[in-house]
Amino acid sequence: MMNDLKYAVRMLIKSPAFSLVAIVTLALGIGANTAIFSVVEGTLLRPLPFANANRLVRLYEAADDNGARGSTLNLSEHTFRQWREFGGDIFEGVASATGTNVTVGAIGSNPARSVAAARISANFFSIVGLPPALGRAFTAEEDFESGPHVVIISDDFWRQQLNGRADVLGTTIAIDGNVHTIIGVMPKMFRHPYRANLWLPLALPANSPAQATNHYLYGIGRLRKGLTIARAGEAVRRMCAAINQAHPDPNNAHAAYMPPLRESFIMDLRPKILVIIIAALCVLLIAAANFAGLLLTRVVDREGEFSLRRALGASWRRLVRQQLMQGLVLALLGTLCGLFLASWITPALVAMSPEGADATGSAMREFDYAVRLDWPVFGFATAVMFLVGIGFGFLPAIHASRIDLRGAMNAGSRNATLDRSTRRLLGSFVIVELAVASALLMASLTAAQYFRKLVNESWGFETEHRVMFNATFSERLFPNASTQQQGIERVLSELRSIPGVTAATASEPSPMTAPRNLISCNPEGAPPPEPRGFHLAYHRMIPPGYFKTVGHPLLQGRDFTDSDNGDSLQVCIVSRAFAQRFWPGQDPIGKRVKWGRLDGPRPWFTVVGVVGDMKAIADPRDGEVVGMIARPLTQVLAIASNLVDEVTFVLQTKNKAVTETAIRDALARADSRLAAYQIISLDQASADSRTTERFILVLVSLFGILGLILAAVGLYGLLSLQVARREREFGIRSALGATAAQLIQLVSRQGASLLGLGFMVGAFGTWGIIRLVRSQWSGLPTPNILAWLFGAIVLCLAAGVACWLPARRAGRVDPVIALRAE
Amino acid sequence: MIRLHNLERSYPLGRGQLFYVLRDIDLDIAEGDFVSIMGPSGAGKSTLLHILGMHDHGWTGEYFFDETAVHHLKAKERATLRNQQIGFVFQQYHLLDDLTVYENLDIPLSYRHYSKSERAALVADALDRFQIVGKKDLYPRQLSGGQQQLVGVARAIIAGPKLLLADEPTGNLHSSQGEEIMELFRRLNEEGMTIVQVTHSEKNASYGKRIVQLRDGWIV
Repeated sequence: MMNDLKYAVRMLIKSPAFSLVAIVTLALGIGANTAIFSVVEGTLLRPLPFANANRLVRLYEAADDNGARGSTLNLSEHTFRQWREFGGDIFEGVASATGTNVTVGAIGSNPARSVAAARISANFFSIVGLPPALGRAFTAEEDFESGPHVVIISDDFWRQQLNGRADVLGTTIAIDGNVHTIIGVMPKMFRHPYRANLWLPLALPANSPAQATNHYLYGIGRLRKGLTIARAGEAVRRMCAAINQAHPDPNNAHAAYMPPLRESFIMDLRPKILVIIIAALCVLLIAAANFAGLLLTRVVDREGEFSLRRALGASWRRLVRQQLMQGLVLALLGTLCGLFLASWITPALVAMSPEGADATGSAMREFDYAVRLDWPVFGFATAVMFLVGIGFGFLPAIHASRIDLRGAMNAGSRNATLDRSTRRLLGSFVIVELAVASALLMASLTAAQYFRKLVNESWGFETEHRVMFNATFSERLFPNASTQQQGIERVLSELRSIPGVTAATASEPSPMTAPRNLISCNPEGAPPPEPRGFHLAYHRMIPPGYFKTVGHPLLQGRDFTDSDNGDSLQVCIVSRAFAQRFWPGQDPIGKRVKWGRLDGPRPWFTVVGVVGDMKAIADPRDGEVVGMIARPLTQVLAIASNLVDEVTFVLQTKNKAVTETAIRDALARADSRLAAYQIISLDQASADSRTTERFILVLVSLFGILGLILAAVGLYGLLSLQVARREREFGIRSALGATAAQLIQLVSRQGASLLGLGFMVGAFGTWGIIRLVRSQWSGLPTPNILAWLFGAIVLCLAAGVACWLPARRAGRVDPVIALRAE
Repeated sequence: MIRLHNLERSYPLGRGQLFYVLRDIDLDIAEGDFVSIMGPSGAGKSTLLHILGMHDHGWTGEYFFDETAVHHLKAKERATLRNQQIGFVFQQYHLLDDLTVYENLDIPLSYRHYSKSERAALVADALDRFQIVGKKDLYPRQLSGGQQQLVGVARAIIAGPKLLLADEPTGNLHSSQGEEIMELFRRLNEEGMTIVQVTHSEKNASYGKRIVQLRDGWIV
């Protein structure tokens, strides 16, 4: 064995070019896969850092009895309270949270800043089973509207903002203008939910009927010991029925959708990661096929040596072992380089990966989920190494052991053409490479087309020369509707005075994040969908002039005016799709829309205008969204001021750019307690809005390019070997009258037939992969004829380059030398 | 038909020195001639044959083929002339291993842009003329050495060249097979074909009309 090892090392040193190509090929394949695996391990495989995490479930309430995912919503306060009160037999506890941004006052030299925070029920940390690393969690007494102002901070916040001071517990910080006492510090890396740096008590208002049925709470439950999710689901259904009987209310939930907590974090991520994994595996397959091809060419080159060894008494086992050893040594070196490459790629991959905006979308960054190269990753890399080294080294090794003794030792055969079986084996490697590369290419082209379509789809309003930023108008800073209203108007007035600003407006939510704010409604004359009892539409809360400022066309009726206030008729403006769907062929102006269920207590809105449709980034969990309803901010505040928390301000500017400093100064002049955050141009926000798709596109495209290069190298290697082996044949052909062009054609034709076969197999492969991924991700587009055509052209170009050099060499074979070599 | 004047072929040895394979060759070959080139190994026989066959371009001097000054032709023009006028027979037969006898005969025609039907007719004619119709679907490895060389000769003349060049055509054959091939050459020459062969064998050389002796690159 040691002799084989020594010999293998010696052979690799003796052929540095071959060794280098093999190692680089493997390093690229293994490096890419190891990096992807480290992300997968960090997001999909690593367990939650909670005690008995298998009993934790995410809680959604369902409007129908089946608890199917399509008709589920986050918890409302109403449901949260009911389940906490009546669910004692099912849950050890039910906790909830909501995300927000708060303004933290200046601390030492650190200026006031907006910080991501989560408001959590007092039992949140005890339910998840992770106590603070320092101090304590909230008590039930602190979880009241009028409770003491306490806060728990993240390890990051403690270290960065408070310099990690040891006496942090009991010290105070100003949050939204109120002094809060720090009572705990969470363990390092923990940022759950909403990537929070601060945790505040949820402190649900005792009586807020308008808000009580809003589905905004992120719910978690800890199942009682021994209870399965199925049995718990059944028990929740029975509990809901009992609640409905005792306290009939159309807002009562009917059932629960309860995925395991971990599953809820990754279920939307999984199909996307699946796409990336498949792409990475494709690259590995191409690299491995390439590697096997390289080993085989070595075997072919050394046929004489192998037959001599056989003649000297080497058994076929010994020859196989020697070849495998060489494969393994190369695989080991390739894996080491791959790991080095992965350690380089992985941080870039994480930096590129999208950050979710909800409680779970950013889950991979909320725990100790730092993607890193650790033992499982090394284990994976080692497994891949053996798979490639032994699995893909086996065929060439077997080939080496079966070399015809008499034929190979015959000097005359040294330059003979490759025998049919070798040619077929090498050809099949190249076909596999080309097939996988073409499938990858198809996938990246389709992803590019899909992404382009998403990006090019009009938002429905102008994004040029517009800047937006957020500011939090919390109830703590602005306790009632009129102070909130005045605060927003003061800010707008100051913003309009900035040089270069032509108009300013506000919106809740941000113009680009429609899915975060849905309204339940029933348009007049339309039957409510069963069993939910209401339609869902995107909701905008805006002041007069919003549509003009953002360039959203008003198609019919009028804009809101200052007279649309709390005392006047409740009005709304709907999008064209909404109007056409529910009142086709009718004048929508004057029609009414009921907020919530038809039998609910909420008011009717009268339609005063119709605006163009806007791009919607639908969340599949919401089911069908029927359009957009805009409402005057003043009227919304008059009904429930706590519906408006984070306000987005949009500035229309002239060509001159407006600086962040100018915006912050204007905000400070309006109200020094406010902090501007997420200042961004609408153009940039538009580009950023598809980070997940872009992430997938970038990765799949990179893998596509890598695969293409590797496949081209494979094709080049095969054709080069063929040309070298067929030098005599080309010499004869030349002597018989073949021109250089005819010889080039001969080699190219061979490349073309491999390419054709590879492309055909790749087409079937693409179809299979798309079927597999579509089972998980129904939104995945299928490649169209343009993608096929373009893919074929790109593949032909790459293959053309790969063919050209060996073909040209064939065309230049000197018949005198070729024939004299005999 | 062929006139060589002051033809030389050399290879650089480094430091500006040259190694001459052929020196000051003056040779005339008339149409219908059958010339045997003889000489010891390294005398330059094969080199001269490849120059005559226009495979080798690294020579100096004058080479007239009919009235065409080959020394003034570009490589592409030489290739065209070669394809039209010259056929080759090799010592190692140099049949293409993966092609059948029929396909091997078809190859030179395919390089000369004959139509498919013309090619079929010419190949059928050659198979019949050389009495190898029964072997047309066999691969070279399924033939004896003599049969392979027979196919090699058939392939060399199938496109109707005026000049047949043969490099040790019987070198790999036993005597009776060699005689058959030489008889075939004689018949072809009698039919008007000009033949130049390189050989070590006095006997084979005697089939020719004259012998050219080469030694150390010089005609002696």
